[in-house]
Amino acid sequence: MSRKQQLHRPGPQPGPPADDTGCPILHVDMDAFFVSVELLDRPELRGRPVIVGHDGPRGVVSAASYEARTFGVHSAMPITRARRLCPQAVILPVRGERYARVSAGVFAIFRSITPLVEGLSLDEAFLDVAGAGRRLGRPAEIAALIREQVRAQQGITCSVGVANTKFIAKMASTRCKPDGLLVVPPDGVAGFLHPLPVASLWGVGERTEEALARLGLRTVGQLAQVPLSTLQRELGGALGAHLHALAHGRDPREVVPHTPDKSIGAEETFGTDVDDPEVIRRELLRLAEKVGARLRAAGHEGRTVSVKLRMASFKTITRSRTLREPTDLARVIYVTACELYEGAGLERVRLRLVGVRVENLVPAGEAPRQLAFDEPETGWREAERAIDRVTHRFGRGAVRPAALVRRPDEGTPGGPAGRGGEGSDGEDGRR
Amino acid sequence: MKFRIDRDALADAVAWTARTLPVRPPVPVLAGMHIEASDRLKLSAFDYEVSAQVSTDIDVEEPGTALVSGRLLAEISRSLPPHPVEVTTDGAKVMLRCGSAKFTLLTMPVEDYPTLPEMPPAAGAVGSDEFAAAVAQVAIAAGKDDTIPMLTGVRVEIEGETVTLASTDRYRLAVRELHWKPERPDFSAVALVPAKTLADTAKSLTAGAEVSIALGGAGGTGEGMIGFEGGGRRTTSRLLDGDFVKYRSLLPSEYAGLAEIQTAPFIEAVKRVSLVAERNTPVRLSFSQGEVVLEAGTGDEAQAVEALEATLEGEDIDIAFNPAFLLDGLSAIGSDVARLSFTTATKPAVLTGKPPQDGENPHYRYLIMPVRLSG
Amino acid sequence: MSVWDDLVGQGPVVAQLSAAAQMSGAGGRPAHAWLFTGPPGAGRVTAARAFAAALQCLETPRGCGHCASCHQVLQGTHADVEVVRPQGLSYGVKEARGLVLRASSAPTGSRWHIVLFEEADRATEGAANALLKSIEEPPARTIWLLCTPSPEDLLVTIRSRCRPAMLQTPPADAIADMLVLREGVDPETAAVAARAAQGHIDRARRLATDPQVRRTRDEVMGLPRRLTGVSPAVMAAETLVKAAEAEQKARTSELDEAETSALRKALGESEKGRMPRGTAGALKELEERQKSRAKRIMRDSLDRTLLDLASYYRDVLALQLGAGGELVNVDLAPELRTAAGAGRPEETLRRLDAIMKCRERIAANVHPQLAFEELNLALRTG
Repeated sequence: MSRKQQLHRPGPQPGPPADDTGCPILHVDMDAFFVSVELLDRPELRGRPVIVGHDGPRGVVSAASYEARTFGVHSAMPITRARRLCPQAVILPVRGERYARVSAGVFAIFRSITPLVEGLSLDEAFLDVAGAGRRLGRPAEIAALIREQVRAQQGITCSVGVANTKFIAKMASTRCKPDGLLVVPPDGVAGFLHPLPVASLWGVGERTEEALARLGLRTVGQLAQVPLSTLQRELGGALGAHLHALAHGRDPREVVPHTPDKSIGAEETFGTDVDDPEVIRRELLRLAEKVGARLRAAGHEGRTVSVKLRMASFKTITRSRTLREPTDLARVIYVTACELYEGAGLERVRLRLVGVRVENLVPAGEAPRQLAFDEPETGWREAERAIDRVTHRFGRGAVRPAALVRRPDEGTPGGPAGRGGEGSDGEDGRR
Repeated sequence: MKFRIDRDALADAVAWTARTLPVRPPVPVLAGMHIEASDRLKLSAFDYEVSAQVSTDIDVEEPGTALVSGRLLAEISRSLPPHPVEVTTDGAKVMLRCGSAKFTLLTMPVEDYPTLPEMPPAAGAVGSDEFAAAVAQVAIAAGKDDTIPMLTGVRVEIEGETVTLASTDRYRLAVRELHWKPERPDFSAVALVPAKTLADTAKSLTAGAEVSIALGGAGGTGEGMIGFEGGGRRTTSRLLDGDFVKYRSLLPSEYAGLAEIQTAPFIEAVKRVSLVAERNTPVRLSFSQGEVVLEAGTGDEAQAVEALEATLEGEDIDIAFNPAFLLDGLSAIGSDVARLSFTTATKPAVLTGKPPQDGENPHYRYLIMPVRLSG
Repeated sequence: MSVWDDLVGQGPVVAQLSAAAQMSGAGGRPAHAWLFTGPPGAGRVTAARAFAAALQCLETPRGCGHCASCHQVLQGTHADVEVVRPQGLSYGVKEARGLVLRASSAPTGSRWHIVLFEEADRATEGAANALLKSIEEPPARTIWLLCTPSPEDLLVTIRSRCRPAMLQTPPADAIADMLVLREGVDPETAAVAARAAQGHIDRARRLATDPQVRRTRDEVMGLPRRLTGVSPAVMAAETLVKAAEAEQKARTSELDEAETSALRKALGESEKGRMPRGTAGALKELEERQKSRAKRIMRDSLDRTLLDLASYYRDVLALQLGAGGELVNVDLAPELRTAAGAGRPEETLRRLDAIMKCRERIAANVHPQLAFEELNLALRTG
């Protein structure tokens, strides 16, 4: 759930179908996906505020039902705060594998419509239905068909935006949530876009929003009035051009078919630069633990491990290695990350940031696995799952490898300064 | 120092010794080849783990020693014309004269060169070709990952007249038994030899008919060392420390199914089907009466399917393997007919050649762990 | 000649080590782990190497210094004496595990398998714990020789299992004698160099034999005179850093050249300077090692500069307090007396504090120029 989506409470249901001629792009977004899936299994909770997230002192909200959102609860909020806002909410643990299964079903529906499916995450995709018209009807009809099939086959609702560009389609689906369908015809783009606040545009974060506010630009309409050269002067060439195009409803990106080929990563910026390889390795271990836990929570395994090393000079290098088979085990991720780090030849170089990422994700358990003599089915995987369970109950850090346990009085050279990338590197962290 | 030597004898001796020169010498002198001319010529190389020494006939005029760059000597001796070679020292230089060609090598301080390890006492002898073949069959299954040193070794177990070699990388296990002639009939010993060293050594000692194996006992000469000697060449290696896996318990005592396939077509088929699939994609073998179907690739990927004639005793079974592991084993069994016995699709399978007579135990067994396909 | 010849003013330690070596020669088992401590430059590593040679010596009494074994140990090529010289600022657990594994094997032909760990204080906690296992339950014929500046630099669990060999700061007289006898330096120069080096043998040798090193030191010792204002102080900082750099370059380039040419020769450099294929990796590795060594020598060199400077103010303080004893910088006596008369001991103490703080900052990787500027401004105001 992004910040932008929270800016808009569920809007009014659209009126009679708008003209969808020349609107082949669909953005399909599941409504409160994790919560909806949970409600399939716990129908008695329907209509009550429900929160999905790790319940513990350091847990955060992964998803909230619309009922919970009316209390101000939103994703990425600390669970403790969500509890205070909405004490009556039912808090359910994250069951990544369950969501992955439902997601696979939903994507199967998409692919039965068109091969041009660009998955963004488990619960979100762009579809280009230009070629499906003859077989299945107009874009709006196809959108309705998708909504119907998702409801019938998976028992959950979704919202669909229909437009001629990806970003308008996405904004449309946001506007019609939940359980809605909104067509923005090409000649309706300006009318749709201009009243919206600038923050709803793709690429406008808090900093840019402030910069625009200083120029007196609060709505997309106002932004559209500003000449390109002025915007570029104020915001820099690339961002200026980008916003100018968006404000005029232009978005040249095509729908590129791919599976939600995501990556999951975490990184850490040190308080002071670190050149002690032991400290770096310990950090890699911590990050590997974190990435492993996230992979397992999301029901993924990844085949490629990459390490990002940023030097004191800000020069950044990444090194990656593809494993023989996909993994979600922190131990494997850690060992690979260490080898990549050692192979990068930066062992005595001062680093300001390290990151660990797992790419090439596949649903857990689907990849073939080479068995080993000494590795019965309950090996490290079981151990790490046990850690996951304890983490659910007692919070992250309750169980961790011995190397990460520090005496309270022990100094931490270059201890964590900020959780670099926590926000953007969450479960949907993409490159 | 001054001696004359046959050109090919020199080239052979230098080339063999040069194999042991370290690529990254921890101290420069270890990149040197030690030359000692007395009644015979002795050339040595040593990298602190493995030592190699060859001795060969020369016509010596003035005995002496010298230390020269091993690589340079190897390069020069490869390119010598077919004439007798005369080697002399001249101050800090070694000169090689061969026909009209003349080469100069700078010497290094010979007194800095480390003393070579002593050869442990001889334990027995084995046919050199059989030994090389046996080691090659076993070494393929050794691990290459240094983080588990034990798995990078070949376990050598000697019990009277039987030598058993075994190695494993956790995914497959190769075991080979062979006969040898021990110095004492009751000789018994175990050792863990670095697989790469053992394979290289065994292969390079086939010039003589036999290889003698030397093993040091605890506390005695050559403790922690193994030595091999044959045809004027001797190698010592430090042993790996630590226990080996209890591999005998991994060998299944019974099986539920047993299949036999012609080895050569089987190898070709595995190669073909795995060629079309992504690297490391498992090959699935579906055995039924009279036939095995090979299949590579999973899900939507391009699939290759091929069927071969096979006999099967027992229930139909689907079992998948890493094709590289399977090919290693098939190439090692040294038999026209491959025999695969298994219990279930997730338990180790045993690959052997078909014994000449039923009921006879094969000398070589290759145990392979299957790949579990998604459910 | 004996292996102990290179140790200066270390009578008691030599007696202790030599006795242990003779005992080993007679079939005894010396302690399986030894800890060599002593101030920088006193010869910890020299002592440990001499001991290793004596333990492996083939002659009687042990430690002849000329048998094949002694020679190989002193040259660092002996098959059963592994010298560990941490390249980086720390020695990690992975390297330590490999070392423990190698240390567990039996010697290839000598009595003992010896691991000589220079600067064992660079072992990280994880690495030290990995070593501990081997030091606690030593393989029958393995002997560990660890070197650190002081016993406190090692985990107490390791320290308590080591037999201590404590080197003293060698007396200036002993160093001067060595310079006269071994290096042929004239007695007066030898005496000045020995005092100025403050117990650092190699430093004394370089001061006595290398005019460039002497000039650099004169430059450093002239600094207090030049701190006449803010801008001279800032400029002086640059001079100091340059001096340290120059010394570092002089020391490393000589070492580097000798090493590189020895390795090139060993790897088969042709007369025309062409290298055989497959040797680039080894040369590259050497280059990396040299680079990281240059970094460390630079740090040492900066620290050396600060210690020299500190000796100036320590002399001033001694004069101000009327403490007896000879000055470190006898050659600067008149100037030191003037400086002592011109200031108060409190100021001198503050200046010494500033120098010690600067050493810490340099050790913490602060840019030298900045650290030295700050120092010089503090020295100026006192």
